[in-house]
Amino acid sequence: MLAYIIRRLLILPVVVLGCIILVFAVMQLLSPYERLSIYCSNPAELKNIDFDVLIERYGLNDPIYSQFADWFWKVMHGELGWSQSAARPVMGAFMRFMPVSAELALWSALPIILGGIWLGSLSAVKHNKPIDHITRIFAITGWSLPTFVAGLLGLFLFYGILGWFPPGQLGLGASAIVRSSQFVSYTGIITLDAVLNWNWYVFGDAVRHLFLPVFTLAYVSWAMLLRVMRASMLETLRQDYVTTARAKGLEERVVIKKHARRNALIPAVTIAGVTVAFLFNGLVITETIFDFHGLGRWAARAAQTFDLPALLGYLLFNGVLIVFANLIVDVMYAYIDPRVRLE
Amino acid sequence: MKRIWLLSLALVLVLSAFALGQEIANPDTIVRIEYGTINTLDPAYSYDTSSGAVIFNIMENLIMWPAGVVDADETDLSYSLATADLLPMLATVTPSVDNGLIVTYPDGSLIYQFPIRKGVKFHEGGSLTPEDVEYTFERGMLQDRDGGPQWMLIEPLSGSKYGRLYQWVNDVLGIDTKKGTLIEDLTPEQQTKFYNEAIDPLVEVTTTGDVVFHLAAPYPPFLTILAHAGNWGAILDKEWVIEQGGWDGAADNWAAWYNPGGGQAAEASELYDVINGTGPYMLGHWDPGVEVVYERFDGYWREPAAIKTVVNKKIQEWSARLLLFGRGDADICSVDPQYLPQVMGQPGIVTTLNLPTLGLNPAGFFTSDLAMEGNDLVGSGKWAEDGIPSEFFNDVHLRKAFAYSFEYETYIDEVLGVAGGYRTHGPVPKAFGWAYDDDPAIYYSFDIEKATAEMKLAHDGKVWETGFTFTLLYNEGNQGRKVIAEILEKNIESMNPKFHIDVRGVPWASYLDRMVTEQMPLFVIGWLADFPDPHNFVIPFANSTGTFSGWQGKTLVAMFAEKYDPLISAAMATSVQAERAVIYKQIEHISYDDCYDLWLPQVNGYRVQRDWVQGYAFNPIFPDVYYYSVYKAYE
Repeated sequence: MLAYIIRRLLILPVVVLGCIILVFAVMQLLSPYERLSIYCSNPAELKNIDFDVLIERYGLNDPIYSQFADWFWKVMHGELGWSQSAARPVMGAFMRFMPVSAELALWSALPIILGGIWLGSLSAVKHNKPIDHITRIFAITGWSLPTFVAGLLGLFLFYGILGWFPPGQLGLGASAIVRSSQFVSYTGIITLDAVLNWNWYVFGDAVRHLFLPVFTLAYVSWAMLLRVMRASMLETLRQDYVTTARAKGLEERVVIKKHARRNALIPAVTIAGVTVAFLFNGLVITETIFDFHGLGRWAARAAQTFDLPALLGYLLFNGVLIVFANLIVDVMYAYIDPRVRLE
Repeated sequence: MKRIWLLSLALVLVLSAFALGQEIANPDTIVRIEYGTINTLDPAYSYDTSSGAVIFNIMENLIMWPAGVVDADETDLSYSLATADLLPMLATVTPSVDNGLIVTYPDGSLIYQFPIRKGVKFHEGGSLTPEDVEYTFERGMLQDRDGGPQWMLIEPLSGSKYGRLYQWVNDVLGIDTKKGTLIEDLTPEQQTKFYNEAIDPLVEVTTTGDVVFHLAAPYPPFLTILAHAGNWGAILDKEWVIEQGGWDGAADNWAAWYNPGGGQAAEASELYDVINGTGPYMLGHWDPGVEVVYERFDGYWREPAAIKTVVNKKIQEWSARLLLFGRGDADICSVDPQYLPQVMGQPGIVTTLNLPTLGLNPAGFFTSDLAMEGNDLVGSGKWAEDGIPSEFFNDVHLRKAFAYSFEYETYIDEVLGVAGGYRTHGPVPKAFGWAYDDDPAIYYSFDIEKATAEMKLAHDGKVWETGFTFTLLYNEGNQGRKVIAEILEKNIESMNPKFHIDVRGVPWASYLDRMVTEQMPLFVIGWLADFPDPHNFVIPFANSTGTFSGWQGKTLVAMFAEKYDPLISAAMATSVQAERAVIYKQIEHISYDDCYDLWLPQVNGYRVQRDWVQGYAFNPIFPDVYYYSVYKAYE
């Protein structure tokens, strides 16, 4: 197992390098002037910018290998560059926005995975019963609703009318506490920091602000996992060994929990792994609607404005994330399915 | 479409949820929600409205503008943009010829003398001194970052000889710094020579403790450049800047602080994320792209501000802004014109319309002598129905035909909507009443017959005979520019079946690329005032080296050089406003005849705030809310 993990980790640089080279290649399709546009979003600034000086300074007319080598050399020395779209260094932007996305991902992952698996297996066990129909309708509506529609509807109802769950990460009072010198920011993940600071007011306020985005994410994400789990469970319940287990006189609860569900989990784990990876790399729409300043929003803005240093930094992170997510899924296979041996 | 329905639903819900006379939320805090990005807190580096807005509330200048008030109970537009009305701020008197603080010498040079206020404290504890003022302006000019605002000081203080520091360095030292890229290699001796000969004599402290600016030639808007609203004139605490790692004021080492980060990485300036001013608010906290918080400065030299904390949140999504604002969790909200109907008339929200603005945004620019290589906007690139040649817009009749083809009134009614708008006719904005000739004869209006007649005259009838095809670009996301292009497309094509215009949206990057490389037959862009003077507009719009006019191709640039540059210089050679007005009005008249730009209608200004927000100062030159005078109450 350890050898397998090490082997997989060794692939990591290759994957990341492949992504980076691809981005560099695509960026060559843009003219140097187009790539300079990130520095000239304000017409007034055009007054005394000498485009040719900038093109030379940033080596935008240099051969692609030279530009790549220059960037690579800086990364090796810990310089990811300046993100114009975030008005801060790429590393600083990453450290600021990553915990926001991570907080959203961590809080969303549990309801999405556990809820999806539970509802999927429940639906299969109660096949064609009312609970199955309700669950399927629930899944289909969630799947059909675009995130921004579900999010906006939730926001209008639960904040616009009821005033329960406001947008943003924190209210005014909790923000003031978090900014004060008494509150130590250990991780940037507010709920976690609030617990570490033993500040339950901030924790409660953060959870109040997290409720709607987490619920929206869960609602629109459940369908896929739920349907895969349901189908897999139905398939497993028809297997001979389940019939044998029942014939042995085992309790139905034991048959489902020990014999059926565990085997049905294998495809669901793949979906869950990918879902969590997507949650972590930022959720553009959810973060935008609920005013969470996370990685997704930053990356989307960076892409819109051709903020190359930001995009490359984001890509590095994403490459690492996806490789790790896949690795965790593979390790989970070995744990769930005794037939899988990682060698 | 789905989104529109949802927003309508939101409106109904919000309307039904709230009532008049709601209890004032957070009475000692102002929450402002908007969407600009603050790039830096360095007043010498900043050249964008969002950064300028922060500096505007935290730092102060020598002089300031009189403001009116726009709040729930009154709209008092008794602001002023006249130099004579400027009020003292960190100076104790505004210099004028009458009070003897502006003196013109026989050689044409001038001095502006500012007595400096005593007893003023910076937020970090330092006291304001005349040396701080001298240091502020010297540091700024020596920093002169690419794309920055320092041209506004270098130009007047160099007698309009230079716009960039490197040009000045080249001249004084007799070297070529390769557009400034070699300035960092200057020897200490070269730096000393330049500083001693060029920079040091410009701003000096007198034996009586006043600060004197030396101008080699008249520059009538000089005081307006120094006034509060322009962050380039905000006064720094010299000792504090040195503590932050800034230039120490020595003559022989300033090059190390020149053009930090190549002008493109704000972090390279030592004051990127720290700020220390004398203003009514101190920086509480800045989280770039997320929020900025101001805290009241209780040691302020005037009465402390009424509001204790100001939270300025950056929220891109309109629906979230609308809900926060509608529920009273935000006091002041940025609203794009298309969303105004959703807030107007709602309980607890006050919308003030028809406020003056200081800008020409948008304006259309014709390009003569188009660059043809690799240009896919010109079709076949020849005189034919499927393309246009390079010299297409060189002909004034063709430009006039386009000017007559735009539906100005329809654009105001249909596109600018409830905000409303007004017509313009040249490079001088209407807000400069003293320099603006409101003669109806120099406005183009929509007239398809006149357009057709001009089209038939264009290029001796060749255009009418052969027809043409070209592409009009707009930058994606800019709905206004898209509509402008579509109006032209519709009306031009209706004249002659051989006329074809394609309208296409491209990302801002491609738009900029095509504009700079002179590939776009007609481009639309805008300019907002740096300082309230027509000079700030005639330069980018009608000068041969102007920001936009410089991209209009060699025929139009030659015309600017021959006809407009001398007039623009003449308007700056005198400080007598009446004489300047005559010249600017002349520029407006010949701009009508030459029709080098498409002068598009401008949107009116407006404010949207909760009904408990009072004392909202108004002057169209202000970059943002000036929180000092704002308070929350029902009156």
